[in-house]
Amino acid sequence: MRPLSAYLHIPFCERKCVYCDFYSIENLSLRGEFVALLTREIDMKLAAYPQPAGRTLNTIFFGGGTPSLLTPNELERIVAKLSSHFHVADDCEFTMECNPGTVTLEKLRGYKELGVNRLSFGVQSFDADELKFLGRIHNAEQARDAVRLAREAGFDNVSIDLIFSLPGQKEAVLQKTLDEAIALNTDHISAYNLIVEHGTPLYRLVQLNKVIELDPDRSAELFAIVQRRLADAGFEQYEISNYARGLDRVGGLPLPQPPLPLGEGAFTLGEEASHNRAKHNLVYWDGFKDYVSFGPSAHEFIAGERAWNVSSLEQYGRMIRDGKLPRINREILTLEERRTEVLYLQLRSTGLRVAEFDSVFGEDLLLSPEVTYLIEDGMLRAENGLLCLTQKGYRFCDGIVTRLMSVWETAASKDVRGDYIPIAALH
Amino acid sequence: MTLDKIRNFCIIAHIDHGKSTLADKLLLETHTIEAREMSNNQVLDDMALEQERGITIKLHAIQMKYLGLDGSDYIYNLIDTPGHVDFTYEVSRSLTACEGALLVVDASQGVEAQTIANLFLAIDAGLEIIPVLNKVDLQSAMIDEVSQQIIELIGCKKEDIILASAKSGIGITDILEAVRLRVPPPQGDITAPLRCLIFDSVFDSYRGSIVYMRVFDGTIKEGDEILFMATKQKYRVEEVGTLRMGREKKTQLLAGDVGYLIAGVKDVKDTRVGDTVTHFRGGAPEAISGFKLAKPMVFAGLYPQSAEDFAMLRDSLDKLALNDSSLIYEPESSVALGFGFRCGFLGLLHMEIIQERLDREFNQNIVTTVPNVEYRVMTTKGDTVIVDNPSSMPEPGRIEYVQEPYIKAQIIVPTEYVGAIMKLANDRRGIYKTVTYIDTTRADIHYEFPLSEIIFDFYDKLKSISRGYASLDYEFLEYRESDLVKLDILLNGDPVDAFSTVVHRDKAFEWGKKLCSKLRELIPRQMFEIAIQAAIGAKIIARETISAMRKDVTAKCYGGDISRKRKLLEKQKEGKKRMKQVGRIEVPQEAFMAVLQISD
Ligand SMILES: Nc1nc2c(ncn2[C@@H]2O[C@H](COP(=O)(O)OP(=O)(O)OP(=O)(O)O)[C@@H](O)[C@H]2O)c(=O)[nH]1
Ligand code: SF4
Ligand SMILES: [Mg+2]
Repeated sequence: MRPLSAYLHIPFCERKCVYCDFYSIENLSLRGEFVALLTREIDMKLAAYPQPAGRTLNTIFFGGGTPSLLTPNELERIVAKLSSHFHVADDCEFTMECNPGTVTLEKLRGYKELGVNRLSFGVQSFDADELKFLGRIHNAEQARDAVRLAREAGFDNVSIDLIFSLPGQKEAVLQKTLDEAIALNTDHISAYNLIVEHGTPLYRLVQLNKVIELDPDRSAELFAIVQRRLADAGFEQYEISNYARGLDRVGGLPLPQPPLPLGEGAFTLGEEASHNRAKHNLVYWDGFKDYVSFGPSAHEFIAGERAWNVSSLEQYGRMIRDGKLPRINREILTLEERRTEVLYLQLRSTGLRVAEFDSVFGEDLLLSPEVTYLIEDGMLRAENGLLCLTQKGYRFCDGIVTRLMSVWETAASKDVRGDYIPIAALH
Repeated sequence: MTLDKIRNFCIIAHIDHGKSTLADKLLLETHTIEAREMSNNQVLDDMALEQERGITIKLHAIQMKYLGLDGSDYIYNLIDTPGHVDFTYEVSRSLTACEGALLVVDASQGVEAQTIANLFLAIDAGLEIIPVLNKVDLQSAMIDEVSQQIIELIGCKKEDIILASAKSGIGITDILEAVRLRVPPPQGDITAPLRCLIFDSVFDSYRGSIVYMRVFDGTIKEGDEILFMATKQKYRVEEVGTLRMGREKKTQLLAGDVGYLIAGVKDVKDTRVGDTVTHFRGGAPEAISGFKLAKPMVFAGLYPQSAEDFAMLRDSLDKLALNDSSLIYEPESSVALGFGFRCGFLGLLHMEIIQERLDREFNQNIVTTVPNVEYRVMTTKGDTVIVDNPSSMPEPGRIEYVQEPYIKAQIIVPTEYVGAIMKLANDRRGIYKTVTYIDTTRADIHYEFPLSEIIFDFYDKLKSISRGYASLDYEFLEYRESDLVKLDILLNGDPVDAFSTVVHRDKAFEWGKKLCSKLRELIPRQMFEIAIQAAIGAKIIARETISAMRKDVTAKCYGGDISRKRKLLEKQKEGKKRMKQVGRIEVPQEAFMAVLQISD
């Protein structure tokens, strides 16, 4: 049976951040009730759709929201429910997203005992003004403490999230955040270019001209700085916004120095890849792999069918109490839609598996002149059966994908040329 | 019905003087259509494009039954015509089917350029002219002045002019009576061998070609074996009839009638406008002398958005040409754009209409190149090369000299603008001929111009400097030698043939600069830098650079983002359909028409 991943959405936050478009609410008192609903949803879904039941969970991810608002007790109830329906792999990657302002040593130890083996801290910045602007509840000191506590609790796979391209961000401030992040010696860093998402308070501020977005060219420069700085520090960029600590910690042991050539497109992907890549997220970026999900607003994808839950805890509760799955929508992808998704997802992360792509979708990708152009331009690399973005290519992922998508039309037109009637015959 | 109870006439005028609105009123008055059936004004303008733009593009023929004040029934065959100068060919074809013309003049505007041009066409065709002074309901109507202009123009009497308002229905019965009393009935012999003149045709996907014609001699009915004399094609008549609000089937059509003919003609090229239809056996020995073929004034390349649509574009053009006999085209190929067609148009409006009709009626998304005129090149070897595509201009070393078409233009304008217009004419290499005065307030200016100087924005300029009062008419004059050069545009060092233009040497430098900067605006930033250069031969005369985009990426894409992101990519890809890939550079369709947006 094909392996599976599981995502669980914990929809609570102490306070909403200004930029955030994830679904979460600030009324923490509903937590206990929510845990009960969530476990019921797991039962209900597996009764209605038995297909994922009994499959092996390779990764589990608690996201949100702020999963670290869950007490170990609450988490235990959920984990027990998962274990009753699925087989949890021995080497299952089990991630909790944590807010640095919400963790204690005791809590982290509790998580560890329940099988959690990876923590991801929403640090975002080490600059006090930026943290305040973002609406975060923690400060830089708490961020450093959180990572220290994680190590103390015995976690050997710790990640932090950063956000850059904040309005008016100066290069020096970003450099300082990067330096501090690197100094924390975590195993993984996610660094996101700020997106002003529709419907967020930040979006309104931008609309009202109270906040001026960073000029795109400027944010491109900052993106390149992040890429270079993290590469220099031994991090492998394996997705647009994700960096895994390099080969120096394979198996948790330091490797002989210096294994890493630096600069544009320095890393070879494939077998030598860092083992610190987030395995759960790689499932999202595969396009072929299945994941099941639970909790309000959560999206799942099983055998080419995507379904998602309502983005409202109230409605979620009501539907479950009425004995209905809290789904709001689903889509069954056509072959063409899957082709677009696989292209986009694999390309934006560890590279497109060309042979598989060509055979599933009946393409001949490497023969297209567009691919040749993009390789010549230093955007793509073809190696080990993969078509990968270079460091520069990562900054142009969307543009590259739309160019490659248009290849299909050009390919179709090749046949029709043969049909062409010569000019002389037309007259 | 005997011939003396038939009247064939058309309505001619300058653009917007109210022809189609008047046609509405005539149709209502004769109960050809009832008010409640009229979904919109200008009912005869049945093309969506005509309705939207409020102008007539094609001639429209329709039959009315009229009870004359003498107590007898009459058949009136009316043809409404367009006023825009690009569609003069529609007017001249309409005239051949008629014995009379209503010359409509807007009382608030007075006589304008196409009033005169169309009047002369009608006189040349031997038609009886009935002057109609329209829009007398308007406050700004200048009934006396404009009547005087008309009297001087036609040499008629004041009483001959009918005062009318197509809007409020004034003078409508007077017009219908004048048609009865003043337009001569058709002549013709129903017993003579059949001769019908094709003045228009449309394509119907079920019935094939539907031919609109005027029967001059003889009788035609269902089952007859007929011959299209020019194309020598034989067919059997499936149906004949008259053109009411729709087609009305008749057992036969007789000499003097205007009507339609269906003969299962599937090959659209067999029914040629201007051809004569006769009987296969016992037919007429000679065809009716038709009319001159339309002379295309501007040429442009039309290319399918994607190469696979080439065959479909060809088919669409074939069908469109049946409905618009002034459209000519032949296949060509471009390095930048692939396979397409070089098309000849009567003017820029005509070109725009064709482009829109291809889009709407045939769903053809096309790329158009910059329009140009047709040049004659004398080579050093002594032969003449006709060049209708700048990219096929011979190398400068092989050229002895180049000739370009000149036109003679007539501009009618209030006297206070004469100075400004002469200045504009000067900028456009105009050669002054004469100025005469229609009356104390209006001047009639004659100039000769290189056609290339007036096809683009000349008319708009003319309108704007005269606050809309100037009107323009022109016709081909002759080819003349000019100091012309070919201007090429290079993208990242590669010449893009579809951008080449021919310009006068004195203007080349400035044009090159403007074209480069316009293209810089129109071509979006891409993942790499783009150099735009203008060159004459090997000499670069202007350069612009489009800097590379710095990033194009979405930072975050997890389970909940994927579906939304996919839809966005699909939309972007759809948007790219409006782009043409030239080498590795994506060029938006509008860029190929950039020249049109350059103002001086
Ligand atoms: N006030 C007034 N307006 C009129 C009259 N006749 C026509 N119009 C208006 O003048 C405009 C042009 O009328 P059309 O009938 O489309 O003119 P046209 O001569 O057919 O125009 P083309 O076919 O494009 O050459 C419209 O807005 C009409 O409503 C009239 O007698 N009085
Ligand atoms: S803590 Fe995370 S989920 Fe909660 S509001 Fe802030 S960014 Fe959003
Ligand atoms: Mg009209």
